[in-house]
Amino acid sequence: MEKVVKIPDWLKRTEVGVCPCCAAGRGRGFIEKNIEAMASFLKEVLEPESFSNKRGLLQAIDPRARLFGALLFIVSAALLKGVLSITGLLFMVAAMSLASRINVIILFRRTLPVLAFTLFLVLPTMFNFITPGAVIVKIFSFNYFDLYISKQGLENISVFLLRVAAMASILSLFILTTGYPDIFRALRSFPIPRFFITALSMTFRYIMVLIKVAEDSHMARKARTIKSLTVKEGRGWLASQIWLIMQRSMEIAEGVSLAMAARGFTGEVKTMSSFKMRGRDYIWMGFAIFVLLLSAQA
Amino acid sequence: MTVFNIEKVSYHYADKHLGLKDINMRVEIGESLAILGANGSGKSTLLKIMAGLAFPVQGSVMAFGKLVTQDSLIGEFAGFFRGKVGFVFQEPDVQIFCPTVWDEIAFGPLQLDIPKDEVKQRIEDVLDMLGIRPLKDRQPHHLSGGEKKKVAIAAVLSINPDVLLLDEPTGGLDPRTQVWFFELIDELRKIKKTIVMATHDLSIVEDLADRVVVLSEEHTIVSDGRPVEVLRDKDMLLKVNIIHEHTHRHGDITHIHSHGPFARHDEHEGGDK
Repeated sequence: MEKVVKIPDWLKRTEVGVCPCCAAGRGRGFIEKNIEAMASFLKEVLEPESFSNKRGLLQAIDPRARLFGALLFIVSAALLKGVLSITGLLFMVAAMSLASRINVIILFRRTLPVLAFTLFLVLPTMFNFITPGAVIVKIFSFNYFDLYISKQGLENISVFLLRVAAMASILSLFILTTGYPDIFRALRSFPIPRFFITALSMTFRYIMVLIKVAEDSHMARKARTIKSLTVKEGRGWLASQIWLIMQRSMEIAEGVSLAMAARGFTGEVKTMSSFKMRGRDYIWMGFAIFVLLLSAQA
Repeated sequence: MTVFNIEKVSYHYADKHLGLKDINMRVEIGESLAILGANGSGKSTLLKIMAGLAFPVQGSVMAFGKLVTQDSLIGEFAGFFRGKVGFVFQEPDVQIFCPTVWDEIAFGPLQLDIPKDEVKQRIEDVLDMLGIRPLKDRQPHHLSGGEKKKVAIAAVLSINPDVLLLDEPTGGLDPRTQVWFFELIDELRKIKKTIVMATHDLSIVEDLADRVVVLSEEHTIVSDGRPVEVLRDKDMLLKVNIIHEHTHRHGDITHIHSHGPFARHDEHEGGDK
């Protein structure tokens, strides 16, 4: 019988030996660093399971009561007006974090990107051309125009940033202590359309699959790349990856839809709760209502 | 009793590519049927048509004595049909879409309006039956390939379907999980579940199937019979690209023989000695 596979001559050549170039290997490129950073950020944000399994104050409370409390605390932060009162709320969040066995630094590190983004947005409001008021720091004077940081502007920014910090840390604390599966289950107890919650939970689920696709395809390319890509080649590769992930997500969407139909899904989501409310959960909800009322009075 | 009666079914994909051509077959209740074929021969499409997830452009599919069409799968028959026919997808990532394993197993029975107490009981039983209780609170993307496959099977078994459609069930499984799967199918056969498997893995056919249907690369049925008879037809299996011949070496002896049920070392067809 004739052989099917014919090996070309060049493939038969072998040159065993040590690499003469002694190259020490190149550093990671811009694309690689970004893909890795994005993947690790998303994993860190989306997978806080290690904290939700700890035995602490918030972890002991039913996720529905926890969510209810978190929502009321966020509204409380919105209602508070003074720097001192919002700082008090921040201290309360820090205490809850410690009681839930979560290092305060971890909690505030998660809120820092939100704060940085907010600061970037509201920074101009501390200047007198948006918020006039008493001069704190004069930047420059030109003819009749003075540019300075106003006292009122600075106060407004401080209150706003503290409020955002309080809200973001409350939300982060809730996510860290709850874990996504329980968050979605808890959301089902609220008057939110179930289809919306299901779509949200599936988005979360498949983001992880698509991150894996992006990481794997990058690895596959890296494994076969010898010289570094030019900027143009890099752009082309990135565009092809975006298309690949888009196509993969379309395939997954079609498959998931069939898999749902195969198990009797007709458009109405039916789910089951496995939670049980206990005395301490009601106490927690009562405490959250108390904080809200106190904030409304402040 | 006939579960599926497929008559003159042809199927085209959206891009007009031919998927299946003039398929005629019946599946009897309690039967264990393997659909064999090379990649792209239409095995998965045939399963999807049987599951009422794709619909033929020609011909008809009768299930439990009723015509399966897009229209008939709306309303009362849909609930009956979905409760009777379970489909395990080739790609578990597509099938496992709930936040946890527990939710995944609960999904099917809940959609079919099975009382919640019974759903809970079924989840507990299936978790134990498949040995996946430690996974119940885990998120799907944390599971290994074999674990995902087990969860996908559990999610379908909790519906308690009479018919199980399995698309490449042993694909990507390690040897121990494959043995587990063989035992599971054996148990399901004993309780008279109807099993239809699409596969190109010949090793599972003789052990797990009562009957084999072979699809050609031209998307037609080329053989339908008992595994022993079908697997004996080497020329046919070579033609449909399910087995192939290759050069094999034992020390200094080189000879050519086929892969698959003919992989016997006394089946020399020549070669260098």
